[in-house]
Amino acid sequence: MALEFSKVIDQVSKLGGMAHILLDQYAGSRLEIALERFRRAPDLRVIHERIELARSPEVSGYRGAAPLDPGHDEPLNLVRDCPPLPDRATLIAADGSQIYPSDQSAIHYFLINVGMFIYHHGVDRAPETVTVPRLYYHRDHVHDKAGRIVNNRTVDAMRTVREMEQLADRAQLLAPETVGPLVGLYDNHLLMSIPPDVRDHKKLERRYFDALRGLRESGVLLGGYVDNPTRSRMVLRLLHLLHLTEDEVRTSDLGYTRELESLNDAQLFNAILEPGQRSALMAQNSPRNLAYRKRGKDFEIAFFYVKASSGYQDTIARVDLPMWVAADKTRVDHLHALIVHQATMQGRNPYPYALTRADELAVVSSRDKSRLDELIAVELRRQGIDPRVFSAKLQGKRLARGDKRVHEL
Amino acid sequence: MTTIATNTDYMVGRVLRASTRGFTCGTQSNRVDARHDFGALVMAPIANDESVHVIGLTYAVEIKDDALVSELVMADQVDSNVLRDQRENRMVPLEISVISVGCRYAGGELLHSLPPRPPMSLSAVELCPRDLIVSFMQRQDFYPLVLNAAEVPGDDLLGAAIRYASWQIEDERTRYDFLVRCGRALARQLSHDLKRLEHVLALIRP
Repeated sequence: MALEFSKVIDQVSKLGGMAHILLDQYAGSRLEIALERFRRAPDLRVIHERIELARSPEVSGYRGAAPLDPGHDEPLNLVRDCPPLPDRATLIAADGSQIYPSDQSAIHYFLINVGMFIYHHGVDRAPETVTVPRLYYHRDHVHDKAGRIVNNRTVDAMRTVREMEQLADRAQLLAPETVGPLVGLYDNHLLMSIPPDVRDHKKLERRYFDALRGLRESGVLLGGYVDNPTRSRMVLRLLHLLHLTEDEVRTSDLGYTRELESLNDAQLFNAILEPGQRSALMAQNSPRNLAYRKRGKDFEIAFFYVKASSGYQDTIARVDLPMWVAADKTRVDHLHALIVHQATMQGRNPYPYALTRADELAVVSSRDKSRLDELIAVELRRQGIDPRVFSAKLQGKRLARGDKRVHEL
Repeated sequence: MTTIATNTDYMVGRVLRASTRGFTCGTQSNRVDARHDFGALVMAPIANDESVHVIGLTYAVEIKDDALVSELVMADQVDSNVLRDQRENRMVPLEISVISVGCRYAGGELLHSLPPRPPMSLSAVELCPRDLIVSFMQRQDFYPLVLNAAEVPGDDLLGAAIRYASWQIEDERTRYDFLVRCGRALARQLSHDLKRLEHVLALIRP
């Protein structure tokens, strides 16, 4: 039975009646306040002092933006135009996809597929595509110590690590022949945290940092691209922090931004940046980023916002970049320019072309999964094993949801 | 693993779906060339019998799109490397539709009518070799199949097929005689419709 739309129409109509409230009709006035504070942002010395206070033992809970270390820092309200493109560059975009394990299958397995797209900027050369699928079926991979099938978060963490490892491996191969900057684009934030319930989480974390090290050694300008970062409020939190008195910093909940609440950084920078422009380089003040920094200053993750534009549509994206990139303004300029350029390359959609293609290469559709299941079933039969696992519930669903045949007289 | 050898010089594609009336084969858009010309004579083995080949005329070549291609079309200009990526890497599928007009038996006998069975899916579709084109086109019994087919542009297709066959004949006088014979056969088939006849004759005029 499909959804009975006749029973939903009235509810949709009520939703429409509440749309102004749901979409926050007061956001405009809050945005004006944020813009005013952004324009009047104090100089870097004052901001550094305030961040020092927020980092002091008597204050906790500040998860907003902070300027980079003196020498690399930029004024909070800096707006930088899109710099010129380098003559030549090589971009590697990486993305991953997975098939989660199922306890309903005859053989427990999961699959991680990493897709990479290599674009040669400034030279007439067909881009290259690479896919690296890996099937995990050994008990050591698929089961935890208690013999249970691993959870989806474990697969997600392994996918993230493999994406970064593959990016590092490919960069190592390409680095010697690359003319101009070698850029690594990753379709997510770079501050990865692995929950403790993930199997071998410490080991995975080590592998992630090994991959980051490899990327640094290959001189890769690594950028984590976060499209439409609606949950990102780091700059708004900083604006709020700067607006408080010192006593309020010590006593108030720094996660609550009062009159700026319900806004996000994307809304703020959408009002500030023109197409192609980026914001100041900043870093997130968080225990996670501190842990990254403790592994080496190069591994602290900085970010900037950029207004990507196709010429038809604009969008705000956040670009995460490690300090080995952020500390060098030429590298930042190259990354900035190439990201802006990539976003002009797929018609009206302002999104890096290389990332779109990497996603396309990586994605494992439900059809692919069915085919892989069939392949495994054939292989099991060849081994004299019946691959059928009877589940009455699944069989019932399959029958009810299957294609309908029309019977006509 | 066993692979079935095919003559790549003649390879047009592989059968996607088929009936005795015709078949559709697919290939990659970056492989499209003269082998996929409108009016070309192609052949494929019929189901479960490699000794009999259905012979057909290519009447439509379709390049499929997808959402990304549609988006790129909207751009003022497309980056040359993106263009190469789309054409060389993305393997945009190409569908070639063929109408069946005859078949060739193992001994070389030709039938100018519908084949006994359609080809199986994934069968290799190849361009007919020159001698087969010339010998098959010597008879015009299959013209009604093309001229009366509802789903194909019959007049233009037959004109293109005759022209295509004439290019395989090296001797100028023989080629002229061939075209005249084809013209006469067309006149018999289209005597009831002089406008159509005039159009097709114009297409094959030497």
